[in-house]
Amino acid sequence: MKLNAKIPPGPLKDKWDHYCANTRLVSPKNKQKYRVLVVGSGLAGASAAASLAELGFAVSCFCLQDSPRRAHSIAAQGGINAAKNYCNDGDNVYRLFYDTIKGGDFRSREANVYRLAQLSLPIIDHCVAQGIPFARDYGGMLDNRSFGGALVSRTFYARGQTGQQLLLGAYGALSRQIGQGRVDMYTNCEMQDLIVVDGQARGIVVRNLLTGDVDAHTGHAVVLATGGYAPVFYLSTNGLGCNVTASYRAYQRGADFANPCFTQIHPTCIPVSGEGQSKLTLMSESLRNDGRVWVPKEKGVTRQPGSIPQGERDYYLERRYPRYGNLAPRDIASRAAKQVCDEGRGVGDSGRGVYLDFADAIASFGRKTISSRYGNLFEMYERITGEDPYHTPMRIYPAAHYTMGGLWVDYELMSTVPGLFVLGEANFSDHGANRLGASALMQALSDGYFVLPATIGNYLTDLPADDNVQDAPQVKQTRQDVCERLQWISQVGGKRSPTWFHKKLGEIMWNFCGMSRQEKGLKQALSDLSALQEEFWKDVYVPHETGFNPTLDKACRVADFLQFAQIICLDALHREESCGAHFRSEFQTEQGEAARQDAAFSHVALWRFQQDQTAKRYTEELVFEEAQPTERSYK
Amino acid sequence: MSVPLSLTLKIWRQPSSEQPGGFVTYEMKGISSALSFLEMLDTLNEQLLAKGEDPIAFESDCREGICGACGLVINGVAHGPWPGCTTCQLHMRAFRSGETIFVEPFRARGFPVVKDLVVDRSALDRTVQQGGYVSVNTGSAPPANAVCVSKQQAEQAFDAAACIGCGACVAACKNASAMLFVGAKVTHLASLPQGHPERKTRVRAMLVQADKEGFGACTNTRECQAVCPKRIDVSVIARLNGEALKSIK
Amino acid sequence: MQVFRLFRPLATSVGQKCVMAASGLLLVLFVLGHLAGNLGVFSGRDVFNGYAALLHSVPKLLWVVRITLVVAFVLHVVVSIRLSIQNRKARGGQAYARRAWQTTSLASRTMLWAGLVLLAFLVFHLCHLTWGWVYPEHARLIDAEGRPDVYAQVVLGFQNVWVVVFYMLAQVALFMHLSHGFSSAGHTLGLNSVGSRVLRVGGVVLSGGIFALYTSIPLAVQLGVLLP
Ligand SMILES: Cc1cc2nc3c(=O)[nH]c(=O)nc-3n(C[C@H](O)[C@H](O)[C@H](O)COP(=O)(O)OP(=O)(O)OC[C@H]3O[C@@H](n4cnc5c(N)ncnc54)[C@H](O)[C@@H]3O)c2cc1C
Ligand code: HEM
Ligand code: HEM
Ligand code: SF4
Ligand code: F3S
Ligand code: FES
Repeated sequence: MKLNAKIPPGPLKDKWDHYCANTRLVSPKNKQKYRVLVVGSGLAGASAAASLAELGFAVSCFCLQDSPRRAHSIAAQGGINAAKNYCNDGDNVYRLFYDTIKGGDFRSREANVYRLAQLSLPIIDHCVAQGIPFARDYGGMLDNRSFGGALVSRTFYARGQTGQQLLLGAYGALSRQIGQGRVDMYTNCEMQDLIVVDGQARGIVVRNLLTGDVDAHTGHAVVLATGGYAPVFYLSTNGLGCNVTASYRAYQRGADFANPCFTQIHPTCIPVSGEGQSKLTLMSESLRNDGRVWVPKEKGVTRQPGSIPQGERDYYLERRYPRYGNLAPRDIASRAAKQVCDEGRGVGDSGRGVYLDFADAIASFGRKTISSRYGNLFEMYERITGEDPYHTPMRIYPAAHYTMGGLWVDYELMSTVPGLFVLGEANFSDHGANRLGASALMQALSDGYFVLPATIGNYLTDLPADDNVQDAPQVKQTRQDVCERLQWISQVGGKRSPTWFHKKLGEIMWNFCGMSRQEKGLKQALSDLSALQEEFWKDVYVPHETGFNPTLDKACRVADFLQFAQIICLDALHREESCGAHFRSEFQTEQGEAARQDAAFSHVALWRFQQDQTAKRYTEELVFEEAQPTERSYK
Repeated sequence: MSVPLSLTLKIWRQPSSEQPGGFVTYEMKGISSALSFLEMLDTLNEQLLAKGEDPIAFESDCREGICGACGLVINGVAHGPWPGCTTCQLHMRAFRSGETIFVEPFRARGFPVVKDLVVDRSALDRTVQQGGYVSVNTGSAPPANAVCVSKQQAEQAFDAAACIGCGACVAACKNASAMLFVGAKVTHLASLPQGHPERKTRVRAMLVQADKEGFGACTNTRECQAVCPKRIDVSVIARLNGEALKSIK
Repeated sequence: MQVFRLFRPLATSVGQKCVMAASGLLLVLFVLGHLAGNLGVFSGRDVFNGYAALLHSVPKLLWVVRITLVVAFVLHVVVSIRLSIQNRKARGGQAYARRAWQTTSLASRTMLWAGLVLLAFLVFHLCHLTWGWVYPEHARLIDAEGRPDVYAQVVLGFQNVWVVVFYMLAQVALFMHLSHGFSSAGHTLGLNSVGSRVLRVGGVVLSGGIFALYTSIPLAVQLGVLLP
């Protein structure tokens, strides 16, 4: 099959307009005859479901949680970018485009990223109209801050709960459509498989998590907006329910997986405190605006931080990256933290932590100002660690956070399975090898509010509205496959809980495929993973409950993570370069920075499922016409 | 820094809403005080699974106090002893070794038990579906700065909009009233110019639905505010009542 | 039907609460007015009986007030009982095994009971002083100027310790009822701008004052300050 990204012709800045002017539309009176199945109710899913219903399509929406409002988008703290240039600091669409491309280390598609930058503008307009209480300045205008290593202030925020407020806006829009009967909402439903009829995505099989019922739903197109897969590392900043199941099943049904090894490790999270811990909590990146990162200069220092004199401290980010200092991009800050800890200079009981110190900021701005900026974060930190960051420096350490990789999509957000669209963090997205802060919310909303509603018509017009596949044999077959799989897992009858396997998986991934990767380690990981997978299918234990059975939910997700982890490692092994968050220690400059290999790897890597369960690698070459790849230096 | 704790847990177990439930006692030893309350329950569940017993059902997702999925009544207080804190953020440092801890689901007629500690809170969603939004179609918005919103209005709106929909207010209220939840949404939108056109219909529709869902009336006992993890103030209820009165005109 | 549509908001629980608050506040007004009148007892027989006679000399006004009060009272009681039943139902079948109230006061949890005590008191009180069925002999007394001797009726009635105990009990109930009811009514009627603290403290002070002044009468009789 030939890959076609369907990038419209013309100059970069006109491509989207050109596309919109020429795309085919579904006639208004036919729209309600088309049913679109939207899986996921996060920013991407909820915005898509609501917008499609507003257009008149019949929509069904599915989510794991008991309410669409609980999708993990709710947890985003920092903010959302938009090139409004409200601060008059020289921002514009091009600059946002360029920063995002460069931030992604030149591993994303120009046309998509440019469109994203363009659509950042109406997103903010729409969100404000929905009543999202963004921060305002005293004149009543929207306030902006700089975020995640940008030189301009273009981040819109609602205290430290931007994701929550944006999601509640999208949830409101979705609720309105549900209340008016235009969206059928299915909560507590997990997609277990994709129904493909005659090569087109026509439905999904879901398991109701409360009753255990397995049902098939059919329609004219399927939209996956199921979020990222960071919990493949077990501990991450994601919610416990985040999974790869939906994407992985789509992959097994023919949707290519792009750049799975591009996983982002966030530098400012609360370090692991011990056994039994279930998640890592992000401390917003905004803390780095005022906090200074340091470790002792010498190894093995166990003294209280306060008693370590200035001369014995190493403010390593300020030292290594004088221009950006503590605000260096995520991948760089994370790797630097790992390095100093590997050198034995880490702090805290585990030795895996660095200080984020507010003493200087408190001294110059006063406790009150600092508390008004970060009070809620300090409170959260104290709750979790029992330490007061006003007096002792915070301890932070990187944690798995976001996944740039995802199902491959073309310009229309359609995957390699016709009729299967992928939105938000679930697609391989516009972030290349590294995502800049405050750009995921932007992407999820641009996909859902604006891109999909404009592109889905082009696909649907070719499909007769009365074409109903409800009785197609593939529907029954796929449902059957799911039931059998559930049976298998329940019947293993082993001794270990799914969580035990998940933790083991996390260890392997974190150690060999985390912040720094190496051929030897990746090969080790691959063999460890297949051993672990074998053990899983021999020794996992799931109670024989029919109906409500969270252990079974978990087991299914872990089973998919185990298989999928191997593709991540394969991808990491094959990408013999360092770029963005993917750092292969064999490929670094003399100063220890990532060394990209543009000649060989200026492409998207696609993994295609083969019937013998192996994965085959394809590529989509990346062409840069506007943004010339340069060394990504933040010195 | 973490201290091992020995605890006696009395946990409500109930197979389904139709079947009766009761407390089951579990003894836990060597629980680290650095764990969160839900991680302590995870640990217990792993032990139960290892014995081939049915693990305790409870809900959670984000485990950082923002999604609103978690919610238990711990020793008679919704979300447990730390004020302004969700169950998932409660850490075992809050308890002493040797203590007995009662764990119950959020109880209310509007929240039928699904299993053990899991309850069905979809009534809150249905209440929002009746009008807890601004009716603006994608594409129709004016430029973002076309409408000024004073900082004070925005802050007031935010304070109310911070609600995570956990339902603790209902669980704690002696009347199982959802007025803090409804009041938060109504106040959020009534504080902003964007919410004004639908002010009257919104408040009425949401109130009618809350009644239909079987939630009680508010008699201003303020327990909801005390347990609300986002510290939503009961003044939102007064605001709600005021909006309801104004909607008659 | 148009009328019903107008009143539809009143059919919601919030609407009913508004009815309770409005009627409750009307009753508070009466309690205050009644208190002011009753304190006349300290000014001596002449003034007090004169005041009572004055009231009865304008029967039209008296009846307007009485009917308003009765309507308010009936509404208040009927709606409160209805809502209390609804609220109890809303709690669901299973009660919490443990309940550690964080801020909810005893008064706010016992509004219905305090209300019912007040209802019982009022029945007794009317039988006692308005209709004179409790001590028919006291009710027949006439003062020097030929007016009904309400002063004697009150003071003689409070000679009985049990009557006084019951009155005091009712005053405690009234205090509890109003210490929560006052601020509650403010909230119900949407006074969020006043600040709930001001409203609460104001409510407690007001009901405390009412309690002190009302109880002063039977106490004064028992302590021998007021003589028949
Ligand atoms: C702690 C944290 C902070 C962040 N902060 C920022 C920030 O400041 N700025 C920024 O731009 N980005 C931030 N991000 C990233 C951003 O929040 C996410 O990338 C984005 O919200 C993803 O949205 P989504 O709609 O794609 O997925 P999600 O919001 O994760 O939604 C996934 C949906 O899919 C459903 N689902 C999943 N699997 C299945 C299945 N198998 N069957 C059925 N339904 C399923 C879920 O129920 C859910 O409804 C942050 C992320 C985290 C974790
Ligand atoms: C002198 C007589 C009475 C006065 C002055 C009075 C006053 C009030 C006031 C001001 C309120 C607050 C309304 C609100 O919450 O919005 C109230 C509430 C209430 N009253 Fe009364 N009331 C009286 C008698 C009664 C009686 C006889 C009953 C019992 C049947 C009763 C039962 C209630 C109940 C159940 C409430 C609601 C509780 C609550 O809102 O917290 N009241 N009353
Ligand atoms: C010490 C306390 C009280 C005293 C001495 C007192 C005294 C009286 C007297 C003398 C009358 C008869 C008036 C008349 O018929 O001319 C009366 C009537 C009445 N009292 Fe009281 N009272 C007291 C407390 C209360 C309280 C607490 C309430 C209500 C909560 C109340 C409610 C009434 C009512 C409703 C009437 C009937 C009024 C009418 O006939 O229109 N009283 N009271
Ligand atoms: S108002 Fe508070 S307690 Fe109630 S649902 Fe919202 S956050 Fe939870
Ligand atoms: S606890 Fe209940 S009574 Fe009202 S003030 Fe809160 S809803
Ligand atoms: S689990 Fe999300 S708020 Fe507790």
